Amino acid sequence: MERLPSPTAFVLSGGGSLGAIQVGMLRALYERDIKPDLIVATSVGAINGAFVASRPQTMATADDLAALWRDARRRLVFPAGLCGGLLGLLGARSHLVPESGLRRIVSRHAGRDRLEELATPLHVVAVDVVSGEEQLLSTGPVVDAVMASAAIPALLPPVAWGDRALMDGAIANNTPISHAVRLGARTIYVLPTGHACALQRPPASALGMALHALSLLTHSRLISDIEFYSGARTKLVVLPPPCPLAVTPIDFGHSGELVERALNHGLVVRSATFSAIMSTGEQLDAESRTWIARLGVRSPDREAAIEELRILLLRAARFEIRRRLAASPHLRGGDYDDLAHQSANDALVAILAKLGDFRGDSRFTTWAYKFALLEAAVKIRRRAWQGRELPLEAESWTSMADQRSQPHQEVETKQELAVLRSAIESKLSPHQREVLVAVALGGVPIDVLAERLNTTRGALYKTIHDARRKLRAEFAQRDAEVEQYTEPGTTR
Amino acid sequence: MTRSNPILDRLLRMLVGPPGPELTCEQCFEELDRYVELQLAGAPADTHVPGMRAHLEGCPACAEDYESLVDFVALQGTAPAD
Repeated sequence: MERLPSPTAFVLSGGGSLGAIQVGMLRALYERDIKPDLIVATSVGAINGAFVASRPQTMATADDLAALWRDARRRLVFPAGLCGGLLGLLGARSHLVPESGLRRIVSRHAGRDRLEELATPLHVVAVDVVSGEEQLLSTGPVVDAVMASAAIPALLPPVAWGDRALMDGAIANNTPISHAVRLGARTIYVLPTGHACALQRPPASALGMALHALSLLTHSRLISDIEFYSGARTKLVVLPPPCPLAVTPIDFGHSGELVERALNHGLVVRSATFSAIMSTGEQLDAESRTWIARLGVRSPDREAAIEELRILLLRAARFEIRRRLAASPHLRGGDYDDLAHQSANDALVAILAKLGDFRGDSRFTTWAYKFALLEAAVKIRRRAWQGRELPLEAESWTSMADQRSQPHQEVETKQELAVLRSAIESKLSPHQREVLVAVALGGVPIDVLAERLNTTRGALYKTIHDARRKLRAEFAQRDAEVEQYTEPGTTR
Repeated sequence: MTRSNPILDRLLRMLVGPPGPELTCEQCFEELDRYVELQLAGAPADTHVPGMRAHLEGCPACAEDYESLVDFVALQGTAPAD
């Protein structure tokens, strides 16, 4: 992998309970031996940031943070008492819940007393309650700084900092890329928390609604910041938050689930994003950028863009179906246009759900076409094998090979086939044998077999891969034995 | 492990699969658009996406999907839309 210029900053954004997502991202970064020289964070990002800044930047630290998140419960973080809540509503107090729960968690895990004592420099963003001015806190008490940065207005009390009262930095700058740039970072890894993009209905509680709205607002600021700051001097690597997400920032009841998803998502991040370091905005061509903007959930032009995309996908699906029909004579004569429409629609659904995964590694249309081609190919392969018995028996393959061999090669062929057959029968499990024979010899498409065996294409390919490894080992051993018994100077 | 009988040779290659590390079907789909564009642009796609070539040799379904994307994208660049 290309080494990016240092110093390296991690920018951790706010997002309430969605902060659990950053755990998986941190783990994926540490796994690639990517460590920050400095951390800039806001709100829940500051809580995560304080935890890792006082510890070694290792996967073990990410795992410890994951354990902490699994235990997080809304009750612990926001212990809303009825009485306190009423005082807040009546105006006798500036906030609805006491900060004690959160402060306890932060003090227990902060590791150091002061920001300047942390092993990795941490800068947190807060906002002056009176002036609305953004404050970057780089020295001073860790717990107060983190509490200030996370003091969600109306919900948690502002924090006294010198002669000022400070509150949640997310109000002004939820993803403080600008500060990382000013602090001299040359490579910035942005760890956003995303937002609940797949809610079935609006959040039920007032608090849930307020936080959800805030996350929507900060998400649009993030997009404009990414566009603004991704330039030649600063490398910006934005880690994709998981989507669809149906958990709101207030919902700490799903922390465990979010952590698991974040860790799994970390695996995706590892294999996808790092294979080609992405500088959002820098790499996207104008046409792709327009597609992404038009298809965005808040785009006024979304309906029209979706319809245009559907027509392109239909064209790709028709192309694929025509191509497959040419290769499957027994399917000819049927009307497959319904299948093309169905493929285009299924591809459209998949694309809209995965829009956030588009990394700009290719043009948007090339990325989109692959979904339509796949949908059509899978459907037509299934149609071609509909009602046909699958050759799952190992016995069938020797006759297949026999039929195709030439008479003069018969002796050699028979011997080779005997070796193969014995290896397949003695070294492979029944399942491995069945799958390998069907796909590698019987020509059964892997997705058709996956459907019949009620599993996935990926799982079946893993089975094939393992079976092949066993056979390769067997052949290597046999060749070595033959080698050993061959006299030097003689030819085999 | 090349055999003089071409049919047997093909059978063997399908059975023992490609040597060396290869992508999974999921990773193949993930990287397919990038790989195809690099290839169409004449860039060394196999250097940029290691393990892809081996997977396409070992997985007939992914190879089909790959060929379709190459041909369809190439067609979009040359012929007027139908």
